[in-house]
Amino acid sequence: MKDLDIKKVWNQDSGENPTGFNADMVEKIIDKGSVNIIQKFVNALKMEMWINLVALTGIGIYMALELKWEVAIFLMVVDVGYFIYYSRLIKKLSEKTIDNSVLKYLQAVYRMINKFIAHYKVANVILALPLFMTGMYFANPNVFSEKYFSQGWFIVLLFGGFALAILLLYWFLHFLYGKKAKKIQQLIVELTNDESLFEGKHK
Amino acid sequence: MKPEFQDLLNNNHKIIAKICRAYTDNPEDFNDYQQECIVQLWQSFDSFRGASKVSTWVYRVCLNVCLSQLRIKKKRIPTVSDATLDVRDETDSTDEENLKSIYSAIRLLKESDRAVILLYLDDKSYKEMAEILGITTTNVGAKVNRVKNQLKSIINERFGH
Repeated sequence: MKDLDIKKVWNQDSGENPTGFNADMVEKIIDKGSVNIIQKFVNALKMEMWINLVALTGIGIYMALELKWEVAIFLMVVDVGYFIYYSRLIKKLSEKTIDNSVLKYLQAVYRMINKFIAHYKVANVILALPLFMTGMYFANPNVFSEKYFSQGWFIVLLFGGFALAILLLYWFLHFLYGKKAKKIQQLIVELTNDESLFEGKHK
Repeated sequence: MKPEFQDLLNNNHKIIAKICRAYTDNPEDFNDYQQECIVQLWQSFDSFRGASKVSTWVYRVCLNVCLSQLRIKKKRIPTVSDATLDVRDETDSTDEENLKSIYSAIRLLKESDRAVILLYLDDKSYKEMAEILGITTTNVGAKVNRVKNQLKSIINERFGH
């Protein structure tokens, strides 16, 4: 097919919806909302933020009722910190970038995926250690006694288990979002590569 | 919903369908892509200040939706019959068969190259293509020549036209 023929055939394409979209259907689609990856991040973070806030506030109130003021005040400070951190992260991810140029949008999505992964990596290390310790404590309340800590196998098991948990969570994160980030990065490179070739020829 | 938005969709539904069809041959994914395009167009409709042509803006949003490749699991609202994309075989005219070959060939290109060829086939100027893609006009020129030749050879080799 000649160049002209391809365009000729192409211009005869009526589109898959010759009649367009009817208003009711459009309303339904809009009501359903977005399902893109960034919106998923925002939804996950909002849920996470409220779970953290409710849990921390609840524990803080309980501590205050128990007259453990230092712990209660500490938890309230952490609570406010969490709120500010999550609000800023959600605001950043919610910035409208979809009508940017393709390259700018892909770069923004790539940054957001990495931001989201980084958030979980940090949350992972900060939260995994106390969670792991708490789990061990509930399994055996005497686990943190001197008797256990003086034994080498226990230290190896403790830190080995913790390291394994972190590694598993990291792998899971990369399994969920790492491939996506790589794909987007590849698209960015592809979009810009002819430019570098062109520049190279003229050097 | 604003009537202006409905008008915008009616005036640009071909662009939306063409872009989505270039990124999938699966009717379910096609519906998902179209629906996400509509949602994203709606969500940025108020912030569209008319700095560029409406069609340029529609291209940008829809290419961004398709290139960021959705993974959709939500319940679908059918916008196109599941059979529509492939059912034409028995009654296809030569032009329709050729059109199907072109789409099939486009889908064999790299995802970023599909964006370039779609804009080229829709007669966008290099300047407009550069504006939509966010790359320089020299880069657009280099890409168009490369992708155009690639498309022609795919059509010739695979579909014998």
